[in-house]
Amino acid sequence: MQKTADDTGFTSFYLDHQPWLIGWLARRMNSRIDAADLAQDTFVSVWTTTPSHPLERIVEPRAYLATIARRILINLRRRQSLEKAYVEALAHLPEAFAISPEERTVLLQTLQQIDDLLARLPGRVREAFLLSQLEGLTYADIAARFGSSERTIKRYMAQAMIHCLEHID
Amino acid sequence: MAPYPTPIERPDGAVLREAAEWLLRMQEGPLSPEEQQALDSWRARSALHAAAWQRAEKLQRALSGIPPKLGMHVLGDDRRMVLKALSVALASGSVATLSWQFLPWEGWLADHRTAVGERRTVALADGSTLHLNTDSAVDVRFDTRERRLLLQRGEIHVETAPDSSHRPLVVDVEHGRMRALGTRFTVRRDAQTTYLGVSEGAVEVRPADAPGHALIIESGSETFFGHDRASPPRPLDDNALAWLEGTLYADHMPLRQFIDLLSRYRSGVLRCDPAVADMAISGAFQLDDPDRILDSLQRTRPLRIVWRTRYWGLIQAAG
Repeated sequence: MQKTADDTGFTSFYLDHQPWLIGWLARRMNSRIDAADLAQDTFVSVWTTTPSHPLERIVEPRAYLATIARRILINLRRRQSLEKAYVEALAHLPEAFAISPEERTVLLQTLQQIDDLLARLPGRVREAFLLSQLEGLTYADIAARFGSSERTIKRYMAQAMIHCLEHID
Repeated sequence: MAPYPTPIERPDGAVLREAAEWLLRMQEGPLSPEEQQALDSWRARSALHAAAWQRAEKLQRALSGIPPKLGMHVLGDDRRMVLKALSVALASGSVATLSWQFLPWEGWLADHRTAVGERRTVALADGSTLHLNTDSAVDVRFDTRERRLLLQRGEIHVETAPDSSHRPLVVDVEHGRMRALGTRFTVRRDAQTTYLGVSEGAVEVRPADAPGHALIIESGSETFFGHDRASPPRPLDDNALAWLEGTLYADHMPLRQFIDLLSRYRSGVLRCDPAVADMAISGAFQLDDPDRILDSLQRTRPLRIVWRTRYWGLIQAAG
């Protein structure tokens, strides 16, 4: 059976905290419209990820909302910085390497997909994975660059690969 | 091959770990027929195994579609360092000074740069001419005392013009400084050393840590120098200026060296199987289309290139 807003007290939860959350977000962003959008995303996330435990059991609802909103905000910034880096990278490609608008979009989506997958890995694990997968460096090359052992790099690679396979959808 | 069964459940940790092991194994080189068979039967073991392998293929497809350099810039530590520094600077209000401290990609912010496979000629303000080879970056700093070129990456060829105010022309690299004595010369930064080849006039070299040990390289000679010394001059390599005409000459050049040279002109990674590394290559090759050179190698020599991804190839003996 599908859950409705009233089953979980979602309507009153939303009405109690939505103006506060928009204010909280607006102080961290430049635009109130963006803040309202992000507040909406935050509530959607609360709605979809808390199906089992009732909302009234959350002890500090605003701290809880702020945690989720902060995560969404960081993801947004990460995406924006990726897009900016990507546009800059494309602008510096010589004309001979020009790619079509379709290819640009596909490549951006691929980059975002990989960026999302790698976002929660430790920095060195992520960098080792990229150096091996994109640049084709050997484990020995990467170990020399990091000043660590090949065994460590091998462990990083397995960790990153398993992580990616767990989270790719 | 039978089609995959439709996955209905999510593969668990153990199966994904095995899939990861297969992926890592495949990166070391092509699978033997026995290994391929083992992988096929692993995949067919259950719907979960098949589902895990679908994920693996999806991941491989995504990674193979990313050009290496662009991917490293967009996904790697460069951008993340800038991101981190930016958020610190935003908090402290010092954004203006930031952009110079955290140059994300030094080459891209240089005064003149070329991408992989690109060559360019630049006329400088004093009438000198600067040629940039593939994947190179140079800063130009002229002031009242000197004309200074800072080679950050790659290879340049300089044709100096006499300067009306008699300022010396110098080229700085990590390993030291070169001063032109009316001249045409080539400078290339390699990983450990800097190459200097002089085709006209002469150039004085001073290694960074031994500025007292100046060496004058005359026309028709070349040297390699590091932080503390320069090698004795020797006759100029015939190939040293070939890139200016977009040509790569090889005269019984070992395949490994040939591929190293060629790799500077194309995106992606090419590896050479040790079994064929010493095969002798001869000919004059047009650098404008490196992939055509690879095609012609495959057609004319007993070689084949196994592409693991669009950007990652291994050169092996054919058959």
